[in-house]
Amino acid sequence: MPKPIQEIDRFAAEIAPETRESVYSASKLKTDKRFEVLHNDFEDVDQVRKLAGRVKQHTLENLPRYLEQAEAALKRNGVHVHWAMTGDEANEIVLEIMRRRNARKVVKSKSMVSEETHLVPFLEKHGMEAVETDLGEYIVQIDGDTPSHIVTPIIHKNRRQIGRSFEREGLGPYTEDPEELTMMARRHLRQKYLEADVGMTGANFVVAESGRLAIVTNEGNARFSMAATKTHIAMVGIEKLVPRDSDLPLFLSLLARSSTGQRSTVYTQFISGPKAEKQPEGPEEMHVIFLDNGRSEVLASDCKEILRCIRCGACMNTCPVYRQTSGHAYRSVYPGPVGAVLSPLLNRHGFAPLADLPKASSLCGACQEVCPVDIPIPDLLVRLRHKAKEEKADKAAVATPTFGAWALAAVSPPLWKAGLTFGHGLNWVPRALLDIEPAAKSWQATRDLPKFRGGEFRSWLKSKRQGKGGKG
Amino acid sequence: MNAREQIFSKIKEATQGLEEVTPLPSSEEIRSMRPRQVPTAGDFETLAANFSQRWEEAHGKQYADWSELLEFLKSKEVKRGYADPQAAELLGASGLPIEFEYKRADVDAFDFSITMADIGVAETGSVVLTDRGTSNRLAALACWIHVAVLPRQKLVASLGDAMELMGDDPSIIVVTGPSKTADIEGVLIEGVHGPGIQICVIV
Repeated sequence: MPKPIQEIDRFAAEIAPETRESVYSASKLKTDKRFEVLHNDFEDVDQVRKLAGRVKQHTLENLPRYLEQAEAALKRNGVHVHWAMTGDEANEIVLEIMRRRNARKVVKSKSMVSEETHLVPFLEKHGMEAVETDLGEYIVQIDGDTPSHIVTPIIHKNRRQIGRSFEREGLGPYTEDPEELTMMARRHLRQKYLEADVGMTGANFVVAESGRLAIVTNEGNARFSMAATKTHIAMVGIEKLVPRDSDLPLFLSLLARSSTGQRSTVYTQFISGPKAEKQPEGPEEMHVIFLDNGRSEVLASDCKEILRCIRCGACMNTCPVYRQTSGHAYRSVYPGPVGAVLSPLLNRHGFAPLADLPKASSLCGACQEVCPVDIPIPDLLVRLRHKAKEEKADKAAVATPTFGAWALAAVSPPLWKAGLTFGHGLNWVPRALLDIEPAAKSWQATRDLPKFRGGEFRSWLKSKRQGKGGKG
Repeated sequence: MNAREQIFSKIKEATQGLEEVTPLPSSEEIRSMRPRQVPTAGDFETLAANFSQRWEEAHGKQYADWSELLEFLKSKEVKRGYADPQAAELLGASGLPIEFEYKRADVDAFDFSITMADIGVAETGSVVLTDRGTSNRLAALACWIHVAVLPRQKLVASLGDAMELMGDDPSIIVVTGPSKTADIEGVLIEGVHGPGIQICVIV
């Protein structure tokens, strides 16, 4: 019988060494850059993160009011506003707009929410041509792959694989030179923009008071789609709001620094409606689709803080589990710590199939420490572990050692003390003998068992108390 | 119940009684969390020095006037260029073939384009192009070399200051350097979809 193992552990065990290496080095580099630039630029980074967290938390707690305000502002600006409960409904709305405009071709900027709804395969099924224009997403699309990171979708691919894909797709002769590869994509994709009828984007923020959409890219693809096409459709989650225009500088500076260590993303767009009258290029018609897709349920749950997320990816870059497993191991649109919370909650097939994800964490807390909106991710993971237990989700229980004896000892001080005393006996047991116990064996396979030092804190505390008359 | 009603009924229920839990931080508090890059003095020399430093950090190029720019463009052996007539006039552009009309069929035929910038941001080293102030969106993005012409009185200290000047323009783009990607193995490449060379001239 094969040994039971958590799915994410199996993925980590089977991942190609070169993939692990690319993921590890790229995410480590970004973590370091983020740290350097944030701590150089702000006096007290934690204060800034917490402030941004409070703005988002306030917005979520007043979401009905701000959504109504945003809707009114957008309509005032001449934007068509649509609402969708599910991903399927949102996709249908896009298709309907395209049909009404006699549109056949859409160029798309990177947007995680459209990954949630599986928009591209949906449009293709209905005879539309849909092209991803972010370089990484384009490569994911031609390879029939899925993104493994929300900011750098092809963190798991190397230049040789990309060279072969471009050769296969007829973009040009095989090359391993990233610059040549990028120029091939440039030539190919600009024709796609010019032929397209519709430009599709997400939004990083939507301002309630003005109806402005803030959209950031480094490549300029969202701008190109909004310069070359006549219809702009933005699909956004209902949690993307911020109250005021004056909130944007704070969020934009945190987003750029947290995701790529840049002070500013190359292109930051503020879109509040169709093109200006005199402007010869750009959309004459603009639509915003507000999508729920499980978010209202999350808002009602004890994990609502996860909806503050601004999708910077810093938590995955810093996560020791993500670095070892890569994003695909999370089997969903959102990988890493944010995904371990969000993915099981938003999953269209329910919580149970992804109930193991909240366990893919050592609860080390690095994710909360880097989060630009200070989401207490470790707390949320613990709440979801509890939920999995309550709902008896099988996936979460796989390969979990029994804690029966430990639980018993933890509630009985004399038993606990006895355990600490006898624990020292372990230091005299030969390592090989410990391998008889399966859990101890699997633990020792990759680590050295440190010397047991239990009880030292208690004796230290005791001596402290005696020394200071019990006031330690 | 339609989707809108369903969503609102669910989120109203979810947020009932929470409205006062987390107060909205004031705009003053938000503004006080400016990064160090925001210059504290507002005179032109300080703003311009800060702007230039950040602009170059983001790999933008800056030329003092038309003759410097002309020299650079000639070194790139440009053949065809587009300009917003207003920008060309402010620059005093001459000595190169410049056209005042940009057609999408010619998207790759132009080597460079010159358009107006409406605001410059010292904090981030960015130029802000508004829709009403940009003669052609496509021209300002699709050419390999783009020159943004920024009137000197339009330089401000921070992105927040710039936002206050944006008014109700429907499509604003804040540009910080050339188009970039690091998607392939984290290698930085410039000129993905937009300009590979982004220039600013303050006039």
